[in-house]
Amino acid sequence: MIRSLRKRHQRIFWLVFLVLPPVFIVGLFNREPIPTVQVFPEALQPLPKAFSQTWETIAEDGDFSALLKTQQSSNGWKLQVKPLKEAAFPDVLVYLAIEKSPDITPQSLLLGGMSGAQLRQFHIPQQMVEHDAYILFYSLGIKKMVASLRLPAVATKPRR
Amino acid sequence: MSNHYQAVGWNRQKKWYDLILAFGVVAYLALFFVMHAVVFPNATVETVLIRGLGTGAFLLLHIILCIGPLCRLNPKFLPLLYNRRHLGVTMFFLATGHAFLAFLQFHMFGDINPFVSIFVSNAEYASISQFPFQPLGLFALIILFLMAATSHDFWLANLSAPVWKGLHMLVYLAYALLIGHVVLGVLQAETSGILAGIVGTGLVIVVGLHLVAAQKEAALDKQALHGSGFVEVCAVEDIPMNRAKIVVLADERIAVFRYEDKVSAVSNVCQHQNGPLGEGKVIDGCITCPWHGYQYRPDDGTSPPPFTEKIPTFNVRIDQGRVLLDPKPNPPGTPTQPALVV
Repeated sequence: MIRSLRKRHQRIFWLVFLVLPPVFIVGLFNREPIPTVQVFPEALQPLPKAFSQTWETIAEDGDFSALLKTQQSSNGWKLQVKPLKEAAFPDVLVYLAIEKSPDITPQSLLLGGMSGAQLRQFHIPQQMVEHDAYILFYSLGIKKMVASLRLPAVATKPRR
Repeated sequence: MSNHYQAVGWNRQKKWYDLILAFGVVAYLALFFVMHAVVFPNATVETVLIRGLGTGAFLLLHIILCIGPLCRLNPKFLPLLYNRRHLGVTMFFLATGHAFLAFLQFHMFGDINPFVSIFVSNAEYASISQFPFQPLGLFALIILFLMAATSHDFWLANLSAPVWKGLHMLVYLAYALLIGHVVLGVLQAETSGILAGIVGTGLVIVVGLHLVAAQKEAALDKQALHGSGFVEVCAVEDIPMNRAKIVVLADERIAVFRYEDKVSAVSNVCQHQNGPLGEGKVIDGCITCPWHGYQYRPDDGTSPPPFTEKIPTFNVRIDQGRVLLDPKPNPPGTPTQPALVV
């Protein structure tokens, strides 16, 4: 090796000697403690039923039909919508409203989007529980309400 | 030594070297997998591979880094140096396997670009112990790639030995990055002291060997002789037959060879990888580099045909059993009159 490279090599290793051992030691001594479980907990209790009380029906409006299902879970009511055939409309948004209307109103509550014949699950807002309501399917692509399906109050009424 | 480029200039030594290397790698991985299956029976195959390839590459890097200083301290280690670049390329492939599997397992299936994920999945850049360790590994891998890609003699010849050596000195930066990668990565979760002890021992060995070898070289350079005209460097008897005495004149090392009844002086720096010619010997009438066997004629510093390498020569005289050297080098390949030993 020529002399300049030898000198560079020597300087590099003095630098490595000064930097790496401190990095190594600081890295080790700054380790965050990892909690360890010393005693195993008791056997797990059976989980409460995640869902209880279900209601379902097949509803239709013109060419559009879907299987509707509601379930009460520990954190509220869920609505499942499963179109029975492909919803051939672009960018369908699903709303919940007290009244049936030909257009989206400020009182309509957006639940989410839907496409094709996929099963979708939505959370039912608390203010709509135990009310007769309509599930509105609005195509954002053609700016038109494409279907309205009735969701009766019984669907979200706790069983006695 | 070859006068044309080929993928690998295979010879018996290289075949044995690579056979032992391949056996060593396979044996290490097999041993690692068996031990891992015993100690961590629930680990997935991907995890075992990531760990096995990573530790294998890191271990091999330590071996590679120790070979250079070991050879400076004891010539018995020179056979390890002969095909060191194959060790380097093997280490790069092991490291790449480790990196690819880690990339696949931890970054590929997220919802952001996996390359971005390496840098942002842990953004604790202000922390010491939680500092993101994966970018350190990535930067080290880029350096290892550059080194593996330019490891062939084609690049050595076209970049020139000093540039090539300078580029390959980046391995020390890669090593520093990898120490950070390991300390800030696996050692943060590893509570037993065994792994930390192994990594720390490796660090002490590598840094210690390099410092000792560098100090030894610096001590030799400090014995530099100065003067104009012919300078007395040693007695003829100080030079073993068919060997050389290395002297430092005019800020560079000169190898003064004694062979037959003659004395000749050439640059100590081999044209191939800047190996120390003065630590070689005269074989078949040619100075032979101890690193890779490159050969030069002592009287004119040229490689025997069909080879074309040339090194500088120096004018030499013998006066009353003392060897005198002109510090001014002749252009590479310049014929000189060997001094005759009476």
